[in-house]
Amino acid sequence: MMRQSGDLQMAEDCVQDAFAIASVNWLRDGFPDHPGAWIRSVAKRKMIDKARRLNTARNAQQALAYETPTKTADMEFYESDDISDDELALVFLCCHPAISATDQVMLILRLVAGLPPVEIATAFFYKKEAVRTRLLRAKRKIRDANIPFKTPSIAEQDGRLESVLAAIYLIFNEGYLPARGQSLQRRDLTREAIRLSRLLCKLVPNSTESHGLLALLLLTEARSPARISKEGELVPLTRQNRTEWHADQIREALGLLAKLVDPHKDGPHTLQARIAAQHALAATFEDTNWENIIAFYDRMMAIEATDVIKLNRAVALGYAGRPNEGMAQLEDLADSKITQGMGYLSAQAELYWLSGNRDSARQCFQRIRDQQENEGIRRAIDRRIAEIDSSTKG
Amino acid sequence: MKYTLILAAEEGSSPDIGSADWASYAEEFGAWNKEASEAGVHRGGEPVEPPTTATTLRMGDSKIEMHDGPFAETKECIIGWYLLECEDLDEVLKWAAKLPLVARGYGAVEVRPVTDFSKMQN
Repeated sequence: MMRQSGDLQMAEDCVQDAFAIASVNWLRDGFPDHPGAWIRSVAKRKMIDKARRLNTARNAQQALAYETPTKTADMEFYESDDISDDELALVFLCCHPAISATDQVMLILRLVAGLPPVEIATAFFYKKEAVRTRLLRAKRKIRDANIPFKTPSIAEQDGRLESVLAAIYLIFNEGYLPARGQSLQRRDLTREAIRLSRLLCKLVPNSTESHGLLALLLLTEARSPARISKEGELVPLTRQNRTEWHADQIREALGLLAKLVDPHKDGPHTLQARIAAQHALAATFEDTNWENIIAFYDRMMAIEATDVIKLNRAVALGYAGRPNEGMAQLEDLADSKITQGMGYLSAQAELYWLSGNRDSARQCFQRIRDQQENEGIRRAIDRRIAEIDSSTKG
Repeated sequence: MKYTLILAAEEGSSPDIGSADWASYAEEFGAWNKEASEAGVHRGGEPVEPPTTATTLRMGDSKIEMHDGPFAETKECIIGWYLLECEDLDEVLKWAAKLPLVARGYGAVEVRPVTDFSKMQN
C-alpha cells in the first residue's frame, strides 16, 4: 500500500515556511528481523545505539525540565568519537542511487540509525510482511548486483550526497508531521533525523548542504514547543508564540549558517535553512522580512525552478503584500501535477484570504479539511474557517 | 563480475541511417567500444534489428506457437545489448552512463548482473 507524505509546511501552517514539499510514496509495512550479515561495523552501531539511548533518556529529562542544553548527548558522542570510513561507506551504501528512495530510508533507519524493526514499522504505519519482502529484496540487490561497500571519491560524493540528504530530510518530514493518525509529531523520528544529519556533518565536513540541512532541521525542530497547543491543535506559524521556540537550537543553526560564507555553494537545503532563519530572526510573524525570503526563493529557482518552490514563492509574494502577483504565479502552475496536492490548495486558500476574497478562501479551506486525515490539522483548519466566518459577519 | 546491458529506445529517436548526425553517433559508439575494450571490460555486444523483424515462440496448448513480433509490445524496444565484466555496480554504471544512446538522450539502458551459479547462496 502506498500513501503520500504531503507538504510539511503548507499542510501544517498554511503559510509560508522553510520547507519545500517532499512528496513521497511510502510502503506501509514491517521490517525484517535480521539486519543482514553484510554489515561490517557492528561494534560501531552498538556505540551509536548507546548514544541514542543516552540521548533519549536525556531528552526525556529535558522535556520534563522544559529546557534545552547547549550540547546534546549525540553531539558529544560525535565530537569525541573518531568515526571510521566504514560508517560513511554504510551511509552511502544505504542511499545508493540504484536503490529506490523508499528503500533508502528503510535501510538508513535500520542500519545506520540502528532503529529496531518494530519501531520503524510503528513509526511509518507499515504492514510487516510486504516491507520485510521489500527490504530483503533491497539487500539482495546490494549483494547480487554487487553494489560496492566503499566511500565514493570526493568527486563523486556531491551527487551521491543528495540522496543521503533527501533520505534524512524525509525521515524528519515524516516525524514532524505524520501523515496519519492522531500524533502531530513523532519526536523519535525528528530526533533521529537530526542525529543522522549531525553524523553527516561530521563525516563530510566540507559539504555545505550537510550543514545547511542540519541548520534547517534544527530551526524547524526549534518551533516544536509552540506549534502544538495544550488542546493538541496545530498552531500555525502566524500565531506561534515565538518566545517558546528553542533558543539553543536556533542559535546553533544560525551559527552553522554564518559559517557558510560562499553563496555560490548554497544548495536547496541551505537556502531553505536561510528562509527558516528569517522566521527565527523575526520577533513576530508581522516582523518577517518577506523580501529577503523572496530573494532566497529566487536563488532556489536559479538552481532548479521546481513547482514546489514556485508555489512557496507565490505565497511569500502574498505575505509581502503582493497577493495578486502570487495568484498570477499560481495560475502559471495550473497544468502542474502539484495542483492535485494539499499544498496547492493551501496556497490558494492563503492567497485568496490575503487578497480579500473570503468566499473562495473558505471554499479552499473546506476542501483541505475534507481531505485531511490528521485530527490536529483538521482542528487548526476549522479554526481558520471560523475566523473567516466571523470576519465576514463583522 | 559480469553485467548485461540491455539497450532500448523508441522508434525514430535516433538519427536516420546515412545522415551526418548518424555518422557521428555511430562514431561515438565505435569510440565507446574501443575504450571499453582497451579497459578490458568489453565481453561482447551487438545491435539488433527492429521488433518488426522479431519472431516469438511460446508453448501453446499442444504445440509451440509462433508469433510475429516481440514478446512484449512496448514503446521502448530493445535495440542491442552488451556484456561487460566490471569490478562492481558503480563501475558498470559509469560505462552505461557513457553510452552514446544514454548520453545523447536517445534511449535507456538496463543494467543486470549476470547470474553466477557458482556464487548462488540460496
